[in-house]
Amino acid sequence: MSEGGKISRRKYLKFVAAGAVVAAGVAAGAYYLSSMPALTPTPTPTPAKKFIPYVNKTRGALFFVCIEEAFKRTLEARGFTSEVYDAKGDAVLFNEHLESGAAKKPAAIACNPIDSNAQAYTIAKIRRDLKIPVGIADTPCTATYVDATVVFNNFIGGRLAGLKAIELLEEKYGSTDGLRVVTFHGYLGSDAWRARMEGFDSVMAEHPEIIYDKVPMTDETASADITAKNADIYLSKHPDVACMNFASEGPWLEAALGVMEAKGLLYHRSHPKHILMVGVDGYPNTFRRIIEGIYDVSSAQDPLFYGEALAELLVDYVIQGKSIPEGFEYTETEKYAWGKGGLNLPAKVKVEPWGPTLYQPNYVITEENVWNIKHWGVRVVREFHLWDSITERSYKIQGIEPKEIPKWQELFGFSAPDVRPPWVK
Amino acid sequence: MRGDIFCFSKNRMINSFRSFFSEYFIIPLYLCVFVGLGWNSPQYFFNYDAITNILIYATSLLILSLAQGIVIITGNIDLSIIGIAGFTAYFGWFLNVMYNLPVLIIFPIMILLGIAWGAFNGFMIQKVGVPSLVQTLSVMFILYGFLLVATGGTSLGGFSSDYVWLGSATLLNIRVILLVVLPLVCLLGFYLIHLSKLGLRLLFVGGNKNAAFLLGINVDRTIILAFTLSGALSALAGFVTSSRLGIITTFFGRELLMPSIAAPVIGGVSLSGGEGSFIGILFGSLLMQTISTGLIAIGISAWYIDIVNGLIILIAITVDAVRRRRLVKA
Repeated sequence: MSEGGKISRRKYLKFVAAGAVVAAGVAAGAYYLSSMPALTPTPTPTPAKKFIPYVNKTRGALFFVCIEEAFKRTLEARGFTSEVYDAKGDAVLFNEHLESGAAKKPAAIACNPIDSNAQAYTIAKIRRDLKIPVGIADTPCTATYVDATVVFNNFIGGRLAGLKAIELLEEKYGSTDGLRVVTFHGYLGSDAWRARMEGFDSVMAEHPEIIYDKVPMTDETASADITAKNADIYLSKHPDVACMNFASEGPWLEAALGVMEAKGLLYHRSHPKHILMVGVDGYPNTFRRIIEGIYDVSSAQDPLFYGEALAELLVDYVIQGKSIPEGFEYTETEKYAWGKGGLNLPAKVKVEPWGPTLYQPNYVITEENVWNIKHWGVRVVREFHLWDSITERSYKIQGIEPKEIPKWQELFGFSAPDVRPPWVK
Repeated sequence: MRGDIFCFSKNRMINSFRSFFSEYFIIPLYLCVFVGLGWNSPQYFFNYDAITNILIYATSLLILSLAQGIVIITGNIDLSIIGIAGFTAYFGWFLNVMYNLPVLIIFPIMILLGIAWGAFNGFMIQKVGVPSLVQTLSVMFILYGFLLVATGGTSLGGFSSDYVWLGSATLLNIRVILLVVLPLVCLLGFYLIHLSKLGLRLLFVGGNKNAAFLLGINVDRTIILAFTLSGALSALAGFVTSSRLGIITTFFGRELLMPSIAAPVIGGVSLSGGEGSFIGILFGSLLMQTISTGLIAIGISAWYIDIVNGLIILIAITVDAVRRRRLVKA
């Protein structure tokens, strides 16, 4: 020791070297032990409890809350219980929640991953070591095998929005020559939002005569204020834009509509100055805006289907040890607008490298089918009583008298004079 | 002689300008960035709409930067400003939508809530001894957690017309936010930092707490007051933003936390405390907002916006830092 009680450099280096040797030894030992099956206790699967926890990537948006609620309710109807963990958009916390859920020895574990690669190791470990089946909704975990996945093709969703945009532009203008189209794309770090943008891009690429702009709708904070700011500056630049596409509706659409109203650009569909608007998701507010005639098409996905179908696949097939083969058709689709009695689109399984994946068929919500109460954005209000109060906002719509606007409230099951359901207090 | 007097006045004027812009280098820096960004697409940038856009959206950032700046001047930091903004905005929504209370009653309640949270922070930091980073981070988590539970993951809307009036109305074709809120915030901020005794006390306390104490300044009260003001300003930001947007989301205001720290620092507020000016905070906020708006206006691809944004800020702050070092050496 040198004077003053300080550690000398030689002593310090010796300490570090010794620590490194010990750490290396521990790591080597652990690796050796783990690779010797005879020495590691083989986890014996305990009798499956009627319990399936759900790890939600975030509860910060109605969409993800819907998946969780639908999942829980379907499980309860089948005599199962569930617990929900919120990962708050943090991939590390997500993995911790997966492990906490798995430690309770559930019959299975379900989740809505943030990032395929970040979650893959933990999911594989749970399946391999704890023999707990794993089910996934919304964002597929493509880096490892999973027992059941229920998803929506975001690329096709974006592409469908693009195709409908072209159809509406041709119907309104006769041709798309020289027309300006803008896409307000989501945060590029999000797989779903990026895939939608790429889908829409693929349609625009087929129409080089269109002047195509791309503007960020939001950033990783999902802020609607950024939508307002960027829509404001874009519409100041190009008030003559013919069509706007949104990566998602909900609060981001409302922020843009507020800007359009302030700029005097909000016209009814029947007016020649109406700016066509398309997007993806099918939030509750979308229905009011389509009925009011200021929004045109929503390429919808169905979070209630994700939750309900995943719960049924896990309970009726995976836990029972039954396989979900290629081409398997999910037949209980009467309650969905796109299913039996509605658009009659089939939901089928494709066995992907990451396991059997049930795809929700892509479909659009338009003026023609908006009054169907089986759309998820309507069911979530009528059945789940999850009221999205941004739907209450009224805009000054040019080109139509307020009394001519149909009573959108009736779609949600309450009377016309009120702007919110009576059970909301 | 007349010529001599004229010569004396001209030199004095030049020296005054030189001294002013040396002290507030952020102003010529901002002008360079403003002109530089608009150079590529002047028709999209040097126009009324773009400038209005910058000023409107800079208002919320300015209010939060002022809140943050006041606290940073004392040598502390306040991460709870966005939590307080979101929390008070939620209460504004609750009272307006659920109980139909008018905005004239709601607004003072929101400010009081902000004051309460700010005072709580100040008390915990100064009297109990919790480091400001930890205290305000905890409060931010609590308030954002509350917002998550309160919103249930949905976005909240349905404000009454009087609530959203301030955020959306125009007078003489100019947005009321620019006519009323921005000038008031500027007057308040300038007065607080440059003209009031509190501003002087903030600088002394931030510079050297012991020396400030020996000078007879009540250090505890000054710091608690700084956090209280920060809370009040955060509530004001919550009101202005929710009034403008007409929506409250679960992540309300989250995108403004880092800019609210960066803006005062770019404007010359020292992170170690004891140094800062309102003009620096103002132009720091304008700089952040101008870059953000400008990159969209000139059509930079979203893949590169963050990189370009960061580079511009880095260059701006490096130029200022090098200049300050040279001044100190001289």
